[in-house]
Amino acid sequence: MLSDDVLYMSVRDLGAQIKARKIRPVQLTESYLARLEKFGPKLGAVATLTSRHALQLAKQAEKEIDAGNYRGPLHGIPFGAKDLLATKGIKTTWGAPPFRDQVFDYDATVIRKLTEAGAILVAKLAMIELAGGGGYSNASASLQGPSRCPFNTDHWAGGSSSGPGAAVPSALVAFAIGSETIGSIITPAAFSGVSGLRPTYGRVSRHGAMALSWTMDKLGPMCRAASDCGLVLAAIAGFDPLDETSVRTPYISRPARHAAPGRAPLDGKRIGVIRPDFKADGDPEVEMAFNVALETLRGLGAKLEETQLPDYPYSAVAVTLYSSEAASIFRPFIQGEKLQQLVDESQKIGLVAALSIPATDYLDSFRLRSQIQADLTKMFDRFDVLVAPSRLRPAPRVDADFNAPPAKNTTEKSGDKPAEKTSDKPADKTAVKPAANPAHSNERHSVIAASNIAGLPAISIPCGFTKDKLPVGIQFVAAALADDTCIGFAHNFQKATDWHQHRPSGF
Amino acid sequence: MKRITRREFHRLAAAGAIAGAAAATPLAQASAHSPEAPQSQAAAPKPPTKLLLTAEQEKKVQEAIAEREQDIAILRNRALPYNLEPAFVFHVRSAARRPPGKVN
Repeated sequence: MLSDDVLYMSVRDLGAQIKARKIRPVQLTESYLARLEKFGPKLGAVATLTSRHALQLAKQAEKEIDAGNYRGPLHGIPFGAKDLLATKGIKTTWGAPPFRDQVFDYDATVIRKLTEAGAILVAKLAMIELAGGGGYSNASASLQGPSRCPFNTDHWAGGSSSGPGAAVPSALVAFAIGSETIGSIITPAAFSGVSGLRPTYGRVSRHGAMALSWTMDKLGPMCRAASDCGLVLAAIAGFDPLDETSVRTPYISRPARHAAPGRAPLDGKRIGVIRPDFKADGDPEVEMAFNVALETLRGLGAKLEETQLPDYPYSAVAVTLYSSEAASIFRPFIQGEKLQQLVDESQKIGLVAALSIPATDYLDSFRLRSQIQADLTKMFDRFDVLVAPSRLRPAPRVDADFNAPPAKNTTEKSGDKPAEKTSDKPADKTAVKPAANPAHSNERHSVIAASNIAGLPAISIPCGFTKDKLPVGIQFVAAALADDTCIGFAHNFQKATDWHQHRPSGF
Repeated sequence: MKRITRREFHRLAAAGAIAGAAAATPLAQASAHSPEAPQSQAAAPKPPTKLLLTAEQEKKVQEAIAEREQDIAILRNRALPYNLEPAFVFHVRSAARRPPGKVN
């Protein structure tokens, strides 16, 4: 077996070693499979191990590389996929008991593209059932049970891409593919200390991914290093005739761009800072880490300016959009007997309630979406990126009730205090509950909701840890199709810090 | 099928925003044959039928719908410009769409 030092390497470094034939794909695959078997259950990370399939592909990769047919930086690299991506002949459970035996007869486009790039699927990874489309009340809302944050296993890995959140920072895989409708990559990236990219809507084909919301679903890489997200995105991006919403604009990965000699890496770059009201909504340790991260960015030469999002009811719009679409997609399921097999009661209630959203509300949300899109686009005339804390609080405990009333802010340490258990509604779908009174809402800081409505790319990377060893994330949001800008800022931040290189103890 | 004059069509269209096939059925006639009187805008949305829920779940669904009605008021109270179109655009296609995916 290969050493932990090798298995914690970045995708870029592993690829270089494979190309140089210093690391062999079969040995690498066997080593990751061994870790998945050993630690997967403890972290609740795995839905299905694909050992035989993986070893076949690894042997094939090895032969090809030996024959001089090197396909590129992902050739021979083992990865995991959230269990909502169709994989031919391998179970795809959507994290939900009613679909525990579901098998597709085709691969999702993302899986096909990664296989063509030579990457090796070693595991289907755990997820919140149905990606939490009806809302969910706790971390156990999954066929696979709760996924745990490797840095503190009493706490949740985040959702709904919970398996990737647990598996990537513990080096059970070299990278993973997650999905986001509204927060499902950014949240586990923040809670588990992962570099998670939510690409521009349409950048990556959705074909073969469980549909929750046709107009808001995105697939993206979750890696240990931000620059790896660019490598993976380069392999999975592109127009796909099987997804008519996929875009034709090519993606080129250039995360290693350097500033001119003698200049700071972010010299002259403009950053809009969306600072939430931490006193009302957040955790002091997250605030502290965010402030330090801003100083780091300033030290890299960036010009920081505080700003706010335009005034819109982002949460109401987002909830109406994805709930209506989910209700249409899952109507036969919701009206059938299998609904009762779902794990989480909130999920059942939310899906049924979504059946009665009036069409006029859905259309009004889509009309507001036009305005939101236009107004957010204008912000990027002033800024290269927007930054905000990825989540206002660290990961809640795995036994926390997400429906409990929000806790008052406290200067107590986060962790096992009851007041901290509730967090800020940690899950994506539960996190965007509309505020009835805009005057008292934090809508102008609802970066996850706003940027998902507009289909903008974002990346969350670790920017610190709490005293309880819980990761804190910072997110960079860029203009549509400027995915590489997000990655570039994150990459430069990671060159100046080492938060992304922290390893969870015991793994 | 009863024919209507162009003038009558416009009167009905203005009253009920009818179009296409619906235009062939005068609004008043349609209402008369409708099994239920149309609901007022203020009425709560009808709960879905054909659901296999427990009484407790039914209650929670009603609570969730009531809560949503409250939450969504912020959206409904927002004045939208008359000419603001939805973010999606229907477009015609010259070729047939792909067949839907198959699930085992």
